[in-house]
Amino acid sequence: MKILLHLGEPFWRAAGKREVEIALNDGGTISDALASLANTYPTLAKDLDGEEAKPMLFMNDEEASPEKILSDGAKIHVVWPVSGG
Amino acid sequence: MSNTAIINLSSNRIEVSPTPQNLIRAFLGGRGMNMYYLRKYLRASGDPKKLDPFDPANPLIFGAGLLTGTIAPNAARFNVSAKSPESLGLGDANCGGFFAAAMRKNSFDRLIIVGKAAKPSYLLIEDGNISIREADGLWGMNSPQTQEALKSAHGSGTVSAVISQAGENKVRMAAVMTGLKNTAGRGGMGAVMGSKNLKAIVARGGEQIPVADKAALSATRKEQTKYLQDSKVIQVLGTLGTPFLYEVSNRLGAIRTRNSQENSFEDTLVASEIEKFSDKMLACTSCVVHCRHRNTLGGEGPEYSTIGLLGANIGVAPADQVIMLNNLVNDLGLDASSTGTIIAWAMELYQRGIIGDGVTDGKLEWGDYERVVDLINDIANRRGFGNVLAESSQAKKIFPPEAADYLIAVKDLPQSDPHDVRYIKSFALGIAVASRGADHLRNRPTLDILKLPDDVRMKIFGVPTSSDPTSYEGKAGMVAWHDDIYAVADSLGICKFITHGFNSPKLLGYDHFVELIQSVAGLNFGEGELRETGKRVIDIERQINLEIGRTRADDTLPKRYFDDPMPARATKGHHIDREKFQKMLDEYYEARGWNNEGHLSKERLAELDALV
Repeated sequence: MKILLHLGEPFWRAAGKREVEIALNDGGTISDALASLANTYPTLAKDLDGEEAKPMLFMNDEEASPEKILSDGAKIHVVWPVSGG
Repeated sequence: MSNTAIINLSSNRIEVSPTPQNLIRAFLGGRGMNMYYLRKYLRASGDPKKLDPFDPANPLIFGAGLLTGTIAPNAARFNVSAKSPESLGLGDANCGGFFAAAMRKNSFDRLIIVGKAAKPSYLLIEDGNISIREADGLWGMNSPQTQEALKSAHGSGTVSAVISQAGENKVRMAAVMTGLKNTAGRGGMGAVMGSKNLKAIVARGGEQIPVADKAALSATRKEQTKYLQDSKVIQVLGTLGTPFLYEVSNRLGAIRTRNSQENSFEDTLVASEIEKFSDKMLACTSCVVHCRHRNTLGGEGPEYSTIGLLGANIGVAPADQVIMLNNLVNDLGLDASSTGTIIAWAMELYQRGIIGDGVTDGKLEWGDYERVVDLINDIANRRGFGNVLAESSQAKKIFPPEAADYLIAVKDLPQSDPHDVRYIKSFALGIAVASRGADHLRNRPTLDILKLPDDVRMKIFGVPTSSDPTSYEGKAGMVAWHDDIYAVADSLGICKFITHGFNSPKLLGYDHFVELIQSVAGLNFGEGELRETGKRVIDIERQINLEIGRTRADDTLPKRYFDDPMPARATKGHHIDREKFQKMLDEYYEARGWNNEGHLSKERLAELDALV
């Protein structure tokens, strides 16, 4: 199946683009999609699983957990969790 | 040696004395020591409740942090404090830039300004001396013009803290400005300055600030800078600035939009759109982050707060228009947060027919950029409807009674930041109890959004807390922890962007601060002792507010946050439950050691009074 990752700040800069299509096996999770992303863009790996913060994930206007099982055509937003400034 | 100057503008008398060592030990400097003096002077005025903030007896206190101006990382900051003409309560604004370093090079870490000059004046601090000068020709100039004129008059190396037309006209949300954008914004400190006929404070010359152990400080700075620059948050802030924060809040559904009637807005204001108008990144003195944009439209900024409050909150979507509004409020010396919140309030009142064209001088519709430009100019110059909005929250005394239901403020201070706090309950508690009013920089528990593991949270906060941002459980302890460390950072003069707890569980904590205090001031503090200093600052602020007449009833939230569920996105349906809020408030008071009315114990009060 194909899913679309929409990369928010600052993740899209390592990928050079806002949207990345990922191919996953059926039953794949958001975690699997992020692992695939990190594999494709190794400089993202530390940011995606950093000790400072794990990304916030949104699907269909709701927060999603990394364990969420995906279906074909799913779109996930990936953003860094900051809130003060 | 560091000195405190008491400047009486009525009598032209200036008294200079060394800053008492016991006060440095108790409050460090900056915000903490300002609060000590603010309480002292308000009590000396007779009745702090009754004192008009524009009365000459209202002290205007400029205080540099204990570390400000040294090479300690990000040690640029100072506080400006007085009884606030905006909230009519505790007033305190924190600011960066280069001014406080210049003040300290002249051996002054605090100026306490009382009285009122007979005619427009400014203070000149030069080569260790202070004099009062006439501000011929400066009155009526905006902030950049004033600073340029003073630089021309006094030469290169001149740094100024000034008011613009807004301060001169005692607009209740007038700010004190230094540089193009560094702002002591909250609470109308610029209006207090204007009420004293004081246009500017100028600093130049002086000598390098003495420190206890230069070599140790240099080594500590090197080590701490490396530690900080390993942080992803610091790296991103250094390239994108705070506009970085907009996207996640918007995606979540937590951007104050159209006076919080909505909670998400256009993607036109994300960092990648703002940076199209960025020339380069700038820094305050000794800063390792450099988070400030110089924009290509003639100013500096914008910050996330400005993008939210002069963008989404008033319905203005184009990035260049928001940047122009940012530049305009800075030039006119207005607090961007209050200006955006008050204009949004007025727009909703107009939308609902509570006020009409006759009051607003014509249409006042969401997103009408040209009208907003005119209105901001009118606010600064107190013209037409601008004269009403220049009253900030106090305009509720002019509008029909139901207008107050739509004001997004706490303790009459308009909310500072664009984050809609109905979702993250600790954020809501934070702005409800913050000492100066609805403000995120007193205690924003940013770590709540990170959903850190239980053991990590326990290690940081020392009390059980829920990892669910929408839970009310344990959030009181989380807010109290952030209260304390931010109070210490403000008293040291260190920027919150590098302070543990502000968007990252890394960054500088009490252990790092202890090293810096030792090498700069030669003072030994334990980490626990340092946190106690933060608690002391929070308690003095609480006592100031109580003596001004604040009660538990003032530790609350805008009506909308209780009664209106958030309408869209991941936060849909969330609001603050009144009963759960009161329970959280009880727990907060307990965490702070206060009784259930929010009063300090007699023993604690005696302890604070013994410091005098």
